[in-house]
Amino acid sequence: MTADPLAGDPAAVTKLSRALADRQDDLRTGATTVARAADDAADWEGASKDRFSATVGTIAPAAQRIIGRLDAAIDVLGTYADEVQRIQDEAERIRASQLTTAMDSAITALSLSAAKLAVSAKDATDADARQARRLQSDADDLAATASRLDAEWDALVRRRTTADRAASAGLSATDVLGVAPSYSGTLGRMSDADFLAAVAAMPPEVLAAQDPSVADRLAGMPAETVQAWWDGLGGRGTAGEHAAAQDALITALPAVIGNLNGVPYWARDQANRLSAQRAYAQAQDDLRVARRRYTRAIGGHGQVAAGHALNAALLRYNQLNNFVAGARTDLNLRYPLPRQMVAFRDGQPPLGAFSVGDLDSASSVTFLVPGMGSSLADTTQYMRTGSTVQQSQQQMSGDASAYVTWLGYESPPNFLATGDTAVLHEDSARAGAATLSADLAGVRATRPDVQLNVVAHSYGSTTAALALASDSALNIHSFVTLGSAGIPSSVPDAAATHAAHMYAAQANEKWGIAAFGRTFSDPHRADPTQGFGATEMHTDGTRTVNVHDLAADPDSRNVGYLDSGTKTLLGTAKATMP
Amino acid sequence: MADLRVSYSTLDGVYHALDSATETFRKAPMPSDGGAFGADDVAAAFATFRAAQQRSAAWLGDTSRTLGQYAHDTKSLVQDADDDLAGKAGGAG
Repeated sequence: MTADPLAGDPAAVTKLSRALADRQDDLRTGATTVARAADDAADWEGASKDRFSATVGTIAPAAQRIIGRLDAAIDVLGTYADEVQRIQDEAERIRASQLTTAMDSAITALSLSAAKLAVSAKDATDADARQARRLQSDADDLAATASRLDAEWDALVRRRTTADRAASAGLSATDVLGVAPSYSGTLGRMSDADFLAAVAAMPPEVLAAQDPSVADRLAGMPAETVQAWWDGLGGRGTAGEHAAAQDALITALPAVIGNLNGVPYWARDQANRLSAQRAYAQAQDDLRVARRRYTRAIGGHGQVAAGHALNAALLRYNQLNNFVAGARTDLNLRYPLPRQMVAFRDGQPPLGAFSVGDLDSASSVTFLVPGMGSSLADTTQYMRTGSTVQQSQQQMSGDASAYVTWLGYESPPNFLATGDTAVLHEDSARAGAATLSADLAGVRATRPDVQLNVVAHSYGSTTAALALASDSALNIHSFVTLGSAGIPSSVPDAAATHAAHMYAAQANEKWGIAAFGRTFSDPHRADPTQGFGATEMHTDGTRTVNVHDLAADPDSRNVGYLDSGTKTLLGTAKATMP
Repeated sequence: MADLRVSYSTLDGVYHALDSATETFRKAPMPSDGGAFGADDVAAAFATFRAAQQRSAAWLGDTSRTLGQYAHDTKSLVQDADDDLAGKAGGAG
């Protein structure tokens, strides 16, 4: 496309440049405020401060780099505005000359035509001939001038093309974008090794600014590739000590790093806490907005719509609120254990997993997979239930398996509360099994020798059975089902789960919830305590399990599968003992 | 284990400062060219630069907000732990 020397508005480009300078001032103000916050935090000491310090120290340097990129862009725009202004001034001069020349040429042509007529007349004089020659000479001069002006215009078009290219190249340069221009264009074509090296070399604010395809490609990397890459950045690292490049990845791409198999769990924990806190903060804002809209809604239809929106916002708020509360909720441990946010996927609904125990160092890891009606809103409840098992283990041997409350799938709604019959079918289990299998494989990839167990309740056992059957390399030590909603026919027996040991417990539950789920399942699902090949765990004794829940209401006379004093609690603790 | 020293006013101050920084980062306007260039390739390059700037500043804002929330949650956590200890001490007595 041919450049137009008169196109554009240099004054507007200069104004744009000034607006970028104003933006620099805002960013400086923000960076100064962050530095003040870091200074204010001087009186805060402890492990919680370490986590704060590691990240707060990255903000001001990043802001300075962004300001520097604005500087570079301002230079490019300033040069461009000046050059375009000069080109436009020259273009106007040429256009004016072309117009004058064209008018003179037209007048001269007319005069020349008349003079030639006079010369050809019978009464022509020598003066007529001289006049015709003079006018012809003038016409020739004007034609030469027009030709010269055309050439000057063409040169100006080339000059404008050069200015446009220089500005375009300048705005795409490393010092403006913060990344070599070839990265943006070639990242997608790089080998995995080159891609990972390029990503690790980017500062956090640049990494965060990359196209989503960068995050997608990283998320799809094999665990062993990720592990080798991560370790190459400065070793496995710990929450307290790790490389700056690892920190940059955690803060820039928390949604990816937090769920990336092959990354150590301390890093996933930090990344997921960032993601979850952001999501929680957003849910707080959304809830405030939904409440305001509900109070201001006018008319029946408007109020119904606003009411639905408010309920959805409240549901999401409760889910995220309970999930982040997992970091501080009371547990039933005999000795304290560290906690890690193992996974967080901010979708609709949000999903995640929270560990009690350090997955980077624990000798045993157990995934607790809940059943129907479970969501992130139940995180603390299931963490507490898992900690009851850990407490028993600590009492027996002093050591406990790290228990991961896995709320990583969209479980079917509670049939009793909603009448929704999804729990009778396999769709939710199949979808959840793929994620569970991947999360278990993530542990296995980073911890090849760790003892890995799965304890699954109700419909969670349907999901877990499918997950375990899908991957024999998971090398599961113990698979425990409690009040199973049934095992799908594609997993015909305990051997098909590939677990070294399978245990199953089925209590005589009030209202027969698990039995109901199995009886009316479609396609039909088997009871793992009946000829399935699993070792049966007894539910009777001094405290006989009599309800479907894992933990019954302590104020009731009911007893759940993992309540203190039950054989199922003891059996589960032993089956998953490190 | 590191010594623990913390005050509610410190954490409040950190939270409010970072909340203010978040707003500043988020509100820092990134102008659009509005057709000022009159050249498609320059406009396209500026659009790429603009998007990168917006995402980078969003990272600044998100990170500041997350840290502020972290300070706020830490305060809640310390308060909860203090209440819990007070309850246990009362029970012991």
